[in-house]
Amino acid sequence: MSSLRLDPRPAPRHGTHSRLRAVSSQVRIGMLTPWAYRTSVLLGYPAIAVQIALYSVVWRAIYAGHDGTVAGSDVRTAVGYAVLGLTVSGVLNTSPYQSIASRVREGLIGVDLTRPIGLLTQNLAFQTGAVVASLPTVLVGLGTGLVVGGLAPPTSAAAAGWFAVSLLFAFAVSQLTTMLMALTSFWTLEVGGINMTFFVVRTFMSGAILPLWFMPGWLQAVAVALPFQASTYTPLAIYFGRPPGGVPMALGVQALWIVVLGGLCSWVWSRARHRVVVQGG
Amino acid sequence: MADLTRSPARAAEAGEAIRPPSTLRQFAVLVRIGLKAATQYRANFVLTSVGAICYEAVSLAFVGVIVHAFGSIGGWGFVEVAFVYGIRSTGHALHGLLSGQLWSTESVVRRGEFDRYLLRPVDPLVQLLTRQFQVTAVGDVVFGVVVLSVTAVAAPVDWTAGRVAFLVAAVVGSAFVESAVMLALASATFRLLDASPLLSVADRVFVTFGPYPLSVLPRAVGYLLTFVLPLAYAAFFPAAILLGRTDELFVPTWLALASPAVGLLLYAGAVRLFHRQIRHYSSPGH
Repeated sequence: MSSLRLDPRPAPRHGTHSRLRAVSSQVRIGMLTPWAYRTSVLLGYPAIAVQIALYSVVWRAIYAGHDGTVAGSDVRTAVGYAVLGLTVSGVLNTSPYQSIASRVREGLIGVDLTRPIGLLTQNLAFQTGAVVASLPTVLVGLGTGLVVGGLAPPTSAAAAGWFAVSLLFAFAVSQLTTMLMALTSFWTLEVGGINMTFFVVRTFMSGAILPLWFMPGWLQAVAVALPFQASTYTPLAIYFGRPPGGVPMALGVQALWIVVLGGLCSWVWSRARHRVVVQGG
Repeated sequence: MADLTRSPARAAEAGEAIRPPSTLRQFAVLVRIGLKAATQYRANFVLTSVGAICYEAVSLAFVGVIVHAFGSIGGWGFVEVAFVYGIRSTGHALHGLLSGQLWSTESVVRRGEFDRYLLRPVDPLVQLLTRQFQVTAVGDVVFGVVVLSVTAVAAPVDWTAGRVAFLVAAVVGSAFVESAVMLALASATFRLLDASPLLSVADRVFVTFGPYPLSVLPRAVGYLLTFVLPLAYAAFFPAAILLGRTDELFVPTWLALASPAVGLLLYAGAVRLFHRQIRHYSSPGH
């Protein structure tokens, strides 16, 4: 297997218009790629539905011996949290379809580097498309929530509004953490183990399934120090009227993570592009 | 590799009919080769094992957080719930060693790798299962055995040789129960091209319900997890028997006692099903 080192070259200059077209075409490709395997996507919907139904059963069973609230949450909130958490994380926390890691391993990254838009922009655009493509999950998730009687309305109109804003921030945090993770593949090539740890820690610490409010204090402190909670827990907590530290604080922490992670990504990428090894020819 | 070719060659020299090695022997040889290949990348081997331990630790933490917040689940305290979890996770680890590669059935079929399996003189299922060594299972086994040992000692069980033997059999049976379900679902790949969402659903159910005393769930769900997706045999039934909570079983005690045998029977059935479904394989053409 021959390997070729690409010198980092400045991307050729293009007008804003053609750049926009290039980006939007990446978004489109991101939307279409998952649907190339229709059965897989379609079978993914019942998967979410089953999971939501499972958690509603488990929460009700766990609450059965306890009247009222535990850690400030009643059974209705716990089930509602599971419905929304699984739906939101099912849409936002997509595992990358064409991850940088797998493209580095298969040598396709060479093709990506010849495109007129930067790798990070390409990736974000593609992933945005993938998230748009997974939007039907929302209908499935909320529909199942209605069926199992677990969909509580937001505590107030304001909570609903801030929830929407926070979701946008959560999308950015989620994509940036995934990208930062993927960029490490320029150093490690084989990332199976790290990836698995990443996905697992993300699921747990993001509060996708288990609200952070059930955790003992020290574990909550760990979760708060990590970016993952900003990608799922924050919008959900806002929805259920208990934003960590109040709404402005909660949104501020999310914004801070976007800045920090965005900066980290471009820094890591600026180091990584000097190390790119394109496998095969 | 040499082992596979040497014996038939020798047999041929001696003028006997060439008999391929038994399926079990083929399996052992291929696993050994896979292990050799996997340990070539030592850093990845270690990192992947650590990743697997994290995975398990997080799911134990999940249960831990719930028991911490709620005190107990349906009258089962932390030690008892953790004991169910210990049986489950050790069984799951052994299942991973045997069946971890089933997750790649989809890509094997889609990329036409399965063509090669059909051309070689080894059972295609054996080739699929030994495709690569399941490195994560090493971490899982370590984790599972530690959790099981600690919780078994802490659990209110009066250990005798017979009970220890039942525990070991139950853990092996648990592995076969889970493998049987996954194998049966993976065999749908030959018709659907991609059965990984089915595997994910089953995996979700096993992970979500696995560690809980299933007696706290609505009876209908309990029966579903006994007779449709047979999770109950994988941990809850054996644990309830060992903990002396037979009054919480929602099936006759003999059925719960037979959990290890149920696992073996189900697995044998799943292997048959897989071989039948292979007939529906159509090569993508490579």
